[in-house]
Amino acid sequence: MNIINMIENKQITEIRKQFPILQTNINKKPLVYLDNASTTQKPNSVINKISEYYKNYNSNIERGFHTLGSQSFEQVNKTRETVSKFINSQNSSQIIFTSGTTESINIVANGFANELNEEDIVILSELEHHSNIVPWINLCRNTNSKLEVIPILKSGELDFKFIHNIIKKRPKIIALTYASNVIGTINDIEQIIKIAHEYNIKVFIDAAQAVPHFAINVQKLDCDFLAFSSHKMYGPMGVGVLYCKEEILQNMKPLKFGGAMIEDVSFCDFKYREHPYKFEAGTMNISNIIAFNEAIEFINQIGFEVIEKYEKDLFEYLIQELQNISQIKIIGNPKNKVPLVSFIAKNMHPFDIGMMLNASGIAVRTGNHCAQPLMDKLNLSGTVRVSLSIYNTKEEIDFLVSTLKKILL
Amino acid sequence: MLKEKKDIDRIQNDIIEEFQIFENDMEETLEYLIELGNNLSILNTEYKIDQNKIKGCLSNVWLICKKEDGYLFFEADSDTKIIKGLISLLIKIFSGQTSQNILNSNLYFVEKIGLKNMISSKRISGYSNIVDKILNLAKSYKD
Repeated sequence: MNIINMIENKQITEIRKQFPILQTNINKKPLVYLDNASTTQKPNSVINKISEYYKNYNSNIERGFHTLGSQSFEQVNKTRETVSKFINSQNSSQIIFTSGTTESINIVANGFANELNEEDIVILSELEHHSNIVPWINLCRNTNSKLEVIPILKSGELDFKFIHNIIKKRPKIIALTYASNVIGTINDIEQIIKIAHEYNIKVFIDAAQAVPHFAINVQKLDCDFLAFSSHKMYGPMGVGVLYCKEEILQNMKPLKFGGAMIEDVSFCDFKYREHPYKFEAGTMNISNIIAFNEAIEFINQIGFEVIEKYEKDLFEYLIQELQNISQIKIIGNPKNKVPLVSFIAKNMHPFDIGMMLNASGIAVRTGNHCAQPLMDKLNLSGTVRVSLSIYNTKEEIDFLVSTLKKILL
Repeated sequence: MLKEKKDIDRIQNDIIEEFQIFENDMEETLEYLIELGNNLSILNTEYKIDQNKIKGCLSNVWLICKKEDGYLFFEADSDTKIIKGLISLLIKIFSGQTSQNILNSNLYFVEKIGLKNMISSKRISGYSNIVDKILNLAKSYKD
């Protein structure tokens, strides 16, 4: 073991100490949490911030001119600034808070409702999660527009030949995942956006699986829309982000209507406020938005340089160890992956594997991962998915692998 | 009728007692369930059709019911060994009972043998769908 590894291990031990849940037992065994693509665990800084909010400045924002209200408002804005810097957007007003990636996608799909007709095409890929499929099917149904799907190659990567061809049909929008929640494929989004923009096609990116693992720069990507969830990046539940290009925000219609999003209301008419408020009707999840700031600070403090390197090494080790188990078949083999892997076993149903691992305190995801069309394409009814995070260790992988061997061999 | 209702509870109590040996050790409990599942008589492939498939389970589960002399008899299969084991327990409880008995029954054994997971994660285990299917069959076979 070299010095870098020793420093890293020490740092990971310190990081683990910040997550109280990682010190708990499941079925009398220490928890080994390997379902990070579903949701990550939360550090003390995030948990404490929620409680601090309710103890010290719980209040609705922009409702009354009192101290508590302005404290909350300032804190919400602080998170907006932090998110804006985190993805390098031009202005923090381009950051819309939502309830999660799903709501963000619904806002965008709804924003196209008046722009599409039966001549138009919406493009998705076979790698999409249900949340980036169903809102678009609904949009196509309502507008009689067509849905086309970019197929995947055997490796689990998108078929670029198809993309080059379909783009000539001038679809209105391409909605793509940055990273697959089933296979882990990191799509070459930058390249796709470049091609799409040559034809003046808008691109929406579902970055839910990407944000906790590597830095995202929306200006460099030049994406038109980008969405992600706080809870998959060490933050609280019920908070999501939608980033949009400035000129889109000016014209896009909101999905929700109600309080806080309007400037003037009479019983005959109303006038929207400027964005982001136009898209944030009703009382938001203020406590969790405020605590979301701490989650991003947690990532920033470690830095993506460390996160990427550590997760890459750990993931390579996981794959190498899984490949040594003869009964296991890994699904897909893309070149670039976020640290998650799906597999099946020749002699056991994924559900049974998940239950048996849980009996040993190991949490993994089993099933179709909310990606039924992808499962159908791969001719699978389900898989076991192991997804890593910054706090996972080599020892945990060793325990997973030895437990799998015990179950399967 | 009261006597027969007691029977269902007695079978459940026997199961609970049978599982006590594992002292809530999940690993051993599941291994035993798998063993029970392996011992379940094989469901003829002719019955493994969509009509007998239980909807809403993430795994494939088929269940059929036959009525003989006023009593219902169940046969089932699943491609997951643990669910199959759980089904074998449900069959032990319900096979040979009357429709009315089944409809009047109150299931409590799953929680008591440490498998609360199966009930709480309904969609994943499909447990409640299996029980619903049994109850619906009992209803349809009611005189």
